[in-house]
Amino acid sequence: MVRPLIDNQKRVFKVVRPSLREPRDSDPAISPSSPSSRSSRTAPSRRGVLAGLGLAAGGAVLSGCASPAVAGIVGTGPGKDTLQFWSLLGGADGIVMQGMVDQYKKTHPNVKQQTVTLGWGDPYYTKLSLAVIGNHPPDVGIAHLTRARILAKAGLLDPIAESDLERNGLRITDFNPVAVQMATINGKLYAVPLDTHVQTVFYNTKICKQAGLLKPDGTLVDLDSRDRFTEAALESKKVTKQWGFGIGVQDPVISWRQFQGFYSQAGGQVVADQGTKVVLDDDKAGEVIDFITGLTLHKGAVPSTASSGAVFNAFAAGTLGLFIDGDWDISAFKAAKTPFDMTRFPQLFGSVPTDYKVQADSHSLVLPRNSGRSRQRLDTTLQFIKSIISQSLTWGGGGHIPAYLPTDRSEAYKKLKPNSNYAASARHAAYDPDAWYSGSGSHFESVVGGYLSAAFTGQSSVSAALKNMRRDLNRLAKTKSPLKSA
Amino acid sequence: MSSATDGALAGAAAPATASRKRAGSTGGLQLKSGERRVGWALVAPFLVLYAVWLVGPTLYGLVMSFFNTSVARSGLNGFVGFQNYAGVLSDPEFWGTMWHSTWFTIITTIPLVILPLVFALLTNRVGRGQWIFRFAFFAPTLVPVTAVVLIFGWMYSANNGILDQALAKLGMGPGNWTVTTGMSWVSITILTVWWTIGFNYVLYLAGLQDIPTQLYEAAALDGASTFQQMRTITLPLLRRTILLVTMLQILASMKVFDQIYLLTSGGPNFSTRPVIEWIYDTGITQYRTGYAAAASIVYFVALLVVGLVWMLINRRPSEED
Repeated sequence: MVRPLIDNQKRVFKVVRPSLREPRDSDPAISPSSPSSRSSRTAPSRRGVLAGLGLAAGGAVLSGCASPAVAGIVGTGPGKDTLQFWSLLGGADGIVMQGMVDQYKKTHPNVKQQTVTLGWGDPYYTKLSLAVIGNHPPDVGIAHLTRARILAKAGLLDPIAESDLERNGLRITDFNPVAVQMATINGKLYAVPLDTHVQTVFYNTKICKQAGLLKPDGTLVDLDSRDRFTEAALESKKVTKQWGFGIGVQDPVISWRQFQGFYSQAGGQVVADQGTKVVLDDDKAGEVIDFITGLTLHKGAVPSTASSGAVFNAFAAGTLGLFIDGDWDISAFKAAKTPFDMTRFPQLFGSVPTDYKVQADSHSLVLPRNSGRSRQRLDTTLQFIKSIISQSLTWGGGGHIPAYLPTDRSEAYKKLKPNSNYAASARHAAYDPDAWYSGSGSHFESVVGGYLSAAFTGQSSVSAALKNMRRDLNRLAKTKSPLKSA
Repeated sequence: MSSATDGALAGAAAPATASRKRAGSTGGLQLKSGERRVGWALVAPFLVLYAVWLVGPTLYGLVMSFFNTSVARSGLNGFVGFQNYAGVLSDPEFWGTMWHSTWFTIITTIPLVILPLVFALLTNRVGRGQWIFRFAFFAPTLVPVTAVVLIFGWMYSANNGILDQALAKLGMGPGNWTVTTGMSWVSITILTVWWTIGFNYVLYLAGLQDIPTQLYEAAALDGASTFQQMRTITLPLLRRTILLVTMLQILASMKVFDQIYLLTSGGPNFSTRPVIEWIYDTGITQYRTGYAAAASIVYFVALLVVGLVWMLINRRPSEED
């Protein structure tokens, strides 16, 4: 239905039907030719439309008043006095963010602010890039840190000076250093991290109690070994009589997230040198894929035939004991009144606790490139960012781990359950590889994840999955990066 | 991109226009120079727009295809010769999405050539109130793609959609309308047929109404049955319309982008992504405009070949007419 990338990130309850999606640039009035129509048909209307546009543009210049459409055509952009904020957050996240923006508006009544929410993933990053190239950037935008790095390397973001941040009451040392490191390129900061969102374990307290998987204090037993993990899955399966550990292995991106977590624990890396070198370790990767394939195909501990939506729905409905997915599912399960608690993604690979890793990304706030940004406007924008950051506790309620340490360390957040159970994972984030073709919602995740998913569900052998991954990665590594000048 | 493929149609149509022009001048129609000037002036707005929006971008795309042009970098960004072409021609994603576009063409051209003919034949038999049918069949063509996909998206929606609800009432499981690859193609085809059937239908109807009624009268007097009349009068005289409709339909289907992009975004997992969407993803989303331009040119040439082959196949019989 929806692009699978969109689907995967926030598959949850947010029903992203095409009905709710941005009509994009396919506004039939402006789009000159619809591919399913013939030029013989569109030619006259195209001329008519263009003539109309010419009149509209002329009219706008004469009258000086600009509707958004006319502003776009004649290039005046949004009002100079409006603070434009672009976001890709939909569903529960979108609602929380809108509340935070409303709070900003309440405390800054003198600033005109406008929020534009676009389709998650590629559509958003495409529009953001084109807006900058077309010299009509928003003042501030949300970006995943894996994507912000790419935007920054493409020269589409302005760096943020520490002195500017400090003047507006923010110190970079107050942010999760792992996220800050991701936001920094060549010593320059390009994004203010808002959160870290990780894979987590959701467990149904009722089922797990019946299965004897709860400690006396009511929390889940330790899962940090492959045997214990498998055992827990099978014990829970005895109670539910259906599935053990629910993991959406039919979904490429979800498969990638599990692999990236475990493979990073084993010390593996997929690509290096900005994505120009494939360093996939067949032994380590093979061990991870073998393990998950064992769970799905041989031990029956993880369902291989259930779609990611089906396992999600089963957990929400209270018929699944254990479930691994992104922390953002929290709102959906709370809304469904599922009796659940959460703990961190398990450590099943690596030899020491410091090897612990979990696949993650971070939302951050970025300043799209704008050579004409005055200092006053910069300060207004940074004040907006500060207002959002200072509401990190509200944001954290939606499941993501706040990157702002004063919030992360606060008593209020420690009391926020089940969120604080897994908050420490943010320090062990395994971000997607640093490459121009990588990042959240990227084609890379779908391609590599596709081969992983095929192995996990028994559609291909482990060796074939590794071979295919390597072949495609080699191709990507050899492709000249579009971010670099010739 | 789209200009390149639009150009394919222009390219296919050009020889016809040229031959007509030649015929005009040898036909001895002498225009006064003033009239000629007026003629040029009247055509000028079109020519200017055509040059600016079609010829210009196509040529610019051709130039770009030899450079490592990137959305993220200014200028053409380094000459790479035929590297982009070599890359495109050996790119499994290009060929994979080419096949998706071809598959879409196969599964939509067949119903979109046959169904409108059937409906036009039936409509043509209606004596009174024919306009209702003409309107009903043609109206969907006027609906913008966004609205069409919005409505069909709701209908196909899992569990809550009207189709799944209807299936549930019949005691059947969900239709997985846009979940599996196979069903996605079915869903896209139903949408496309409903949406675009009207244009072919109108062409057929016009063709049918061009057939002189006395032929049918004569045939009826000779005792020809309705079926015989259709086989020996209607279909042969409609041959050129059928050929035209088929040609236009193949080209239109090969250029598919919008309804698939809006309905499935090329999913599930890129299994319905047409080549134009791949070109868009590569060129705009992944910033690789030079590479995508090369792919557009390759596709443009492919469409040109389809058009020329079709013309060659059908040239001889039409000259006999």
